[in-house]
Amino acid sequence: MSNIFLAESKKIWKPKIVVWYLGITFSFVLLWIWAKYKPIILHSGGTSFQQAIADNQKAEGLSTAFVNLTPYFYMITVAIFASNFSREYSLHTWKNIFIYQPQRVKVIFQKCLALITFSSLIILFNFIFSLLVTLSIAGYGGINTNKWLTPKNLLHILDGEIRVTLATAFFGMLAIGLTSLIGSGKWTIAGVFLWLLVGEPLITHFFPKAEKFTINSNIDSFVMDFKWGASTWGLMLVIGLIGSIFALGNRKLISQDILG
Amino acid sequence: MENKTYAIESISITKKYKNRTILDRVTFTVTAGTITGLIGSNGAGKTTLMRILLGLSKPSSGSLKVLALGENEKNKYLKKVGALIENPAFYPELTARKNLEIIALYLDVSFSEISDALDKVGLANSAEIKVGKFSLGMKQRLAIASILLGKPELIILDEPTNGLDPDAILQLRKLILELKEKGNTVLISSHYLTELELIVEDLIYLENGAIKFAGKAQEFISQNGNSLAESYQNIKEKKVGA
Repeated sequence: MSNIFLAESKKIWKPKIVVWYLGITFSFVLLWIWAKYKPIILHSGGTSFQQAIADNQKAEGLSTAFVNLTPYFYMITVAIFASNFSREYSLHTWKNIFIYQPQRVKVIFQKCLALITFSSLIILFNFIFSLLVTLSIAGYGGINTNKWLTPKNLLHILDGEIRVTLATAFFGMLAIGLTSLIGSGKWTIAGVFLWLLVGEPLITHFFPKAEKFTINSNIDSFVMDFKWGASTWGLMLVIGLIGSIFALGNRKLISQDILG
Repeated sequence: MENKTYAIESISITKKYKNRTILDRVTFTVTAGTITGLIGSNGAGKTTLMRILLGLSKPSSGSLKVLALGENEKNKYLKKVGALIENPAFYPELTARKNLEIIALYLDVSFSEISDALDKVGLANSAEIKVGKFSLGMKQRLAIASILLGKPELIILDEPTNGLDPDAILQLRKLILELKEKGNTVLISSHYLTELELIVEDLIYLENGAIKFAGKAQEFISQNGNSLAESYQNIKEKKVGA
């Protein structure tokens, strides 16, 4: 493991960030599982009970609790990646880093790697937490978790984990690129959140045909049902756009004078 | 003829920014093993010059050699350079030791050297305090400690006495003289001319981005007044020419 990677990891793995990140996402896991299985646990009747029983039979409980959290992972990732980069500007620490490690490309690469490792491990912790919670409700009201732990289903979950990690990395790249271009983490976070939560839903509402080109729907389809090799124009466009923003932002950081 | 080794050789360095000339054909040398003072009023181009030496800024034209290595070998020479540019920059939520651990990792230096560096700048008892709680003077001393970590051959200090109390200034002076004794080269910019006069042998006087004087500090003083501060004042008041 390189020293730059370790130095960058030291900046990211702070108890406060980890506790907040895990606290928020763990709460979402619990809320989701409770909302989904409440009808079975409480033996309630009606369509929600039937639906919950049906979902239980499909062996989806374990993975869906986890996959349904992805929008939150993306937004938290944007916040963490953007603030990590923007803090180097606001604290004027880029100058230290680039004096000690003048190879700026190397520093940026290792920084990205440290951030992606951080978000991947947080996603993994969430998955383990989802697993423990869903296993703990086994037996309540007839919830049968045996199907959830078949090798086939576990492989399916692993595939989901990799896709979510990749999708999270895309959002991280978007945050890094925009932060370097704009020079502000706060504006990046506000802009990306606004675009994802308001901009794209509005565009989709008024121009339904544009949905296949939105970031949300393409990343969602990539995580949920993308078939390797069967690429779509919309997804390629989104990947190209995010890649270009990332490249332009880092080009600026690599070539610019470091002030302050 | 005297055979000198130069730690820095700047040949006609020019820096232009948005149609403004920050540095105008700056040519000077810094002899290895000496303490050289860099003086000039605010906006004279001192920090820009130091940034260029450290690879943080690119010159518009001219050439540069640091520790006998050219600009394209920046990666090699910067490993042997320690610097404090403008205000010290640290992560406020981390302790002094953690901040130095991050720097040690960048520099590929063992963590065991951190305590020694903190001790040298009088921060041994503050190692576990978060830097956010440090005064400017303490941050300045921590920055000096970070420079010492890398055991550099060339040390570039931009206003290192900013925010330091008289005791800390005394300690810094002692430290700089010790570094010189060990064979290090120091390039230091400061507005505290009386303090600077106590340590520098050579002097570079920069005004409006151009070199007005580069040579022995004693020569500068004898030409313009009785002390460095008085000489500077006389030049500014145009009583004498640099």
